[in-house]
Amino acid sequence: MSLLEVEGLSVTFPTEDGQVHAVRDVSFHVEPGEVLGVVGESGSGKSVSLMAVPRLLPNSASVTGSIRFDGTELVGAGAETLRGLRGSEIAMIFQDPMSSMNPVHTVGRQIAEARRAHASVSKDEAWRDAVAALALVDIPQPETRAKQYPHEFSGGMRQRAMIAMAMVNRPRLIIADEPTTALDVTVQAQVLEVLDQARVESGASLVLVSHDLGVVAGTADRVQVMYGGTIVETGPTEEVFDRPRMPYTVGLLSSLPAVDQIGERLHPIPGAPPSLVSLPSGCTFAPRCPLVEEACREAEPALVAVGTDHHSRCRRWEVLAEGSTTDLFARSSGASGATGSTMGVSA
Amino acid sequence: MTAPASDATTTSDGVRDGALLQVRDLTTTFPVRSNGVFRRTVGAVQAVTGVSLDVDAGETLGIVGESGCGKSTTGRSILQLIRPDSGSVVYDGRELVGLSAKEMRPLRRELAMVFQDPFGSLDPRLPVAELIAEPLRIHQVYAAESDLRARVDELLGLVGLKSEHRNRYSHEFSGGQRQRIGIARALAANPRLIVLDEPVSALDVSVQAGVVNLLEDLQERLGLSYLFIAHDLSVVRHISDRVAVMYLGKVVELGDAAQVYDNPRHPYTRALLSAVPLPDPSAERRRRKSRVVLSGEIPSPADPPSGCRFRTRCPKAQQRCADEVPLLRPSDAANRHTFACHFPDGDADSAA
Repeated sequence: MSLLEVEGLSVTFPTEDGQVHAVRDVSFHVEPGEVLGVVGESGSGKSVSLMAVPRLLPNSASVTGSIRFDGTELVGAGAETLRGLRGSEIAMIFQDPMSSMNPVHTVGRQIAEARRAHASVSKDEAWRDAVAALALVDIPQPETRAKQYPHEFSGGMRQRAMIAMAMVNRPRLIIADEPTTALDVTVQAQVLEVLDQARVESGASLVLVSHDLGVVAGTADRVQVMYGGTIVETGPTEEVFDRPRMPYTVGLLSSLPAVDQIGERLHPIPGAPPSLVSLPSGCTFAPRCPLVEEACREAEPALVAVGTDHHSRCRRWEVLAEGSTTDLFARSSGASGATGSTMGVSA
Repeated sequence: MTAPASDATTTSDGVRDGALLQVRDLTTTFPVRSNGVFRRTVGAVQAVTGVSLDVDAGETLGIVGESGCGKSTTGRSILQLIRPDSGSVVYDGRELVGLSAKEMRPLRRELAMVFQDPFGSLDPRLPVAELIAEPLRIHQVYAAESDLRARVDELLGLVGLKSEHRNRYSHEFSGGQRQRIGIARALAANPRLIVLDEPVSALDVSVQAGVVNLLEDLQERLGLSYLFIAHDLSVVRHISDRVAVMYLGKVVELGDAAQVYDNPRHPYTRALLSAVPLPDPSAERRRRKSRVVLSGEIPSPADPPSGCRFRTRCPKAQQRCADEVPLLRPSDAANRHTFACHFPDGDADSAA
């Protein structure tokens, strides 16, 4: 049985401009011990779909569908059930460690508090667990460091302390939302290594939400690509990166500067992501897609199997399977003029 | 104009004599003040220490490094937006260090800047046309309003926006479009050199690629020189002719982009390159095993380590690194690739 099973999840927020459909009919699963990478650009719904799992959403959000964690339904579950899971069975790691910690308590006290919130252990035991958790994430002199305040920690150490806090209750699922985005690359490498080590040691599953395709490529077993509030491609990491079957994924990959293509032009995706208030009819990527046909604008395509455990939400995925995908957007950006005027104001 | 190095003589500090911009030994410090009533100066943060570099006409010099390495302060000190403590910045034969604000003003037409945050750097109360016209008004470039208007439309077209957009406000645009407005503003007074400080860092990758292409087009069409400051190593490699790697206020390696990336001599450059995750799962899995993961973090620039500033995190550090500051020295006979390390990577004596 999957550890986490999400089916038909939708999340909407009321705003002044109307209902924002942040997540639309999203289904996915996380197996025990697995690393799932969730990628997408700003506004793709990648964070909201995961924050919905422990229901860390504003009260105004309306959540429908089903989220089963280890067989327990979480949509509609009582506050008590969720409180029991959050921080114990399901741990969260956020982008900004500075605002996730209380500045007036020592780091050790905060981790011990997290321990005591879910386990009936003595204060001394909880403190020892906190120190052990800091040691697990390679914080030097954990006994001394536990007595320090968050501001005495550097950015990378704070993020490691957050991982320690997440791990202290031996969670079975870790949801890390852009955990290294605020960090420098050499520190990012340290934190990713520590996260991986902690995960392997505890046997927990990890959902890694990131805009950085490189971070996901090196960490995830499976990956799902989100666009316009829904999953547009999902599959084993190597499958999706090496044989993308959704034009959006192809576009994301080809807009990155590649080391072996120095001096060549980059291939941006023309246009801008859709507004989640008024989504285009049909495929949400159709307005920017070089393969678009009339039928694409009529109905939103379903996720179809394009390989082993590999699914794409593209009617024309076979075109991508037939030939090389690398110049898909090169052709389209060439056609839209040499001045680079590929971005109209979304009216 | 991208290969002007041949006729310019390279001096011992690696700076070409004929280059459009020549920066020598630039040092900028910020005072550290006490919290008391008198806010006495109790120390100094050495943000930039003895930086020498050059940028020639039509060329892009990339500056990479992590937060706190002084790359942004270097850019601002060159433009005299922050006054350097010492050193020399020669632009087109004129010394900029020590010029008064009034003396700098005519030169600001030729030296522009693009900032990271396209949200914070555009006045939300001005329509796009006014945002772009502002530098032109300040420099009194056009006497007639119609000329000004025509120039604004031209600039909008140059950066891939339409003239219908002229009366809209910055909040009506996406991040990428806002950065295009920032670029149009920088281009307004016909600059020759633009300092770009993390110009694409705030943008999503698909949008970032469009802005990078635009910058390359503009460079080719207008013969611009860029000082491109960024932490993203792949973007810097893509856009730069030459690259300077900074660590804790100092340039640790400088050379042609291919030399620095393919044959890094400084252990920090090597570690930085190996830490960048590649969007290629199989390559990433291989690299993870050989990755140089640095221990520790960047020390405080208020109290930098003695000798080599990188030695506290360097896997190769020895006693000599604490005692003796490594000077930039050439890697090749042409003096175009320099690095500052006692025990560099990638040569015979380091293996011994």
